Amino acid sequence: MPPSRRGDGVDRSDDDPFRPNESAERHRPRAARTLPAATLARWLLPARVHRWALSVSVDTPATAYERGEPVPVAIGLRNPLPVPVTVETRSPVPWTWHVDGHRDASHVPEPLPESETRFTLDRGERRRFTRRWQQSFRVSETEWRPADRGEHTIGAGIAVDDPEGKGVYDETTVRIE
Amino acid sequence: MAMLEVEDLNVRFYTDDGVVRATNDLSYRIEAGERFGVVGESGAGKSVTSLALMRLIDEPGVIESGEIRFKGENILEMDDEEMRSLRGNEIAMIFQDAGTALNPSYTVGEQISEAIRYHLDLDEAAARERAIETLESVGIPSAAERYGDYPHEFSGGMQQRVVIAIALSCDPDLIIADEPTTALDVTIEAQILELLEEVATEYDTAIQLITHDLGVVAEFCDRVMVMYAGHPVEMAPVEDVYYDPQHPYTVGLMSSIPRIGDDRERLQTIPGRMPDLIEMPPGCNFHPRCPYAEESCTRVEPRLVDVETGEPADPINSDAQTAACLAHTGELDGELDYEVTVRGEDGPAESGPASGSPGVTDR
Repeated sequence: MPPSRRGDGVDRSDDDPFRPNESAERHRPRAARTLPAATLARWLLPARVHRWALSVSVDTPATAYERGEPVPVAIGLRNPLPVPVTVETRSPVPWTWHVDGHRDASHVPEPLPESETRFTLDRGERRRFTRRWQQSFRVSETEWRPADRGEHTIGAGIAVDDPEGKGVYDETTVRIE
Repeated sequence: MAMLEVEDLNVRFYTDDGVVRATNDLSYRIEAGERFGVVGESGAGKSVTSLALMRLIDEPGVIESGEIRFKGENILEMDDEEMRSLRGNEIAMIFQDAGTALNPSYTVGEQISEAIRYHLDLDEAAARERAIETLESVGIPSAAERYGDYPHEFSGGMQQRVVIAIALSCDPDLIIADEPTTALDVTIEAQILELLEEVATEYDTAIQLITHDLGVVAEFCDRVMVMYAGHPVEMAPVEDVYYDPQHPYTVGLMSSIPRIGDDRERLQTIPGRMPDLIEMPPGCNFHPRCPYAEESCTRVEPRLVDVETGEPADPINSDAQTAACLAHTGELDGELDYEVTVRGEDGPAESGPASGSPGVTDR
């Protein structure tokens, strides 16, 4: 009896029920998928093209918040190109965020280790990270101070030297009422 | 000088999402022969702490700062060769999932005798002899015949015993038991704990027992450290923690233990969940879940203090009961309003909210 192909894409044979399934997928060439696209793109495209392709966005759901209300922040990284892009960052954490220039809304310096790391976004990849700014600044190891009313700038950028100049930075402002 | 002293240990994981602060300024000590319990919810940093002791933190984790002194020597400054001779020989680890910890392609006997050959410099026959003795001591029947069996031929409880046998094989001074009974049923759990207790008593081995089972800690440990979001919130002799808990998180943990004969309709739980270790809440990390939290808790991070004096704790040199809560430094307007009920003379302690109070879960 010839194998019958059913709607679920799995072919079965009543004579040999334990035969491994065969599907159209099995016969497709797969080797092309294993091309090291990120490595090739790194070799073939200049670094500035990689940086140019990578875009950073910072968004908050609203522009004004009541005092004490946490501010959700969405940080988006996007590569619109049909090839992977790779950016060399100066720390193992590929991006950082800040409020009014204070990284992680903290006045207490906590330096990141310096080590060159490659951060790759696949072709057309978007990645989204979130933070919640609690409307306070860390002012010492054990103390936090509420932010003043008024405008505050929330920014995020890739961990490279001068992210703003290199176009891998974005910021937004929120008002605390 | 204590056998093991951990001072201001900071472990970080550098990920694409940010910096995971797995342990924050963690300090404690373990004396020779002591049984030290580490409890807390999943994600509190218990396992990372034990892996750091063995220097087994892998990429992208980094021991950022601090000291781990074993018999006075800083483990973090040792080279790889020194570490290899320490691991399995003086400090041994019992991993939580025996099925994964054992190598499926070697016989259990070979996995035990490998450690013996390496550390004790015995020949093959003597190592085999000793491995069989160790297997017998952990209660594997017909140990000589089972020496050549592969891990898949053992049940889960027996695999755990084999992992314990590997840990015991070189008579270590410190055993780090990372949830050794989590994957086992309660009857096997009791046997394994009994076995560990025998070993600790017989060889005067110190044990760091990591668990989230407070019942096990009460039975087994001398001192206990309660961890939350990567740092200790309470550390004290086990009786003090059970009969007189001094941190709301400890109280919450104890209220959530089910007990036979309990007349409560529902178990009390701690509302919410452990904070994201990338983005800790400001002030006290526990304040979003704490029924006693006030404005000051969102502004000031409490340090571990002696609950009697309110002075900064010295977990390395002192046995005093310590807790990290502003209630003990006088910075809280209210009080920790709960009471502890002890059932029966030798019965377990029960913590619960005082009647009429908002309680630990009603917030």
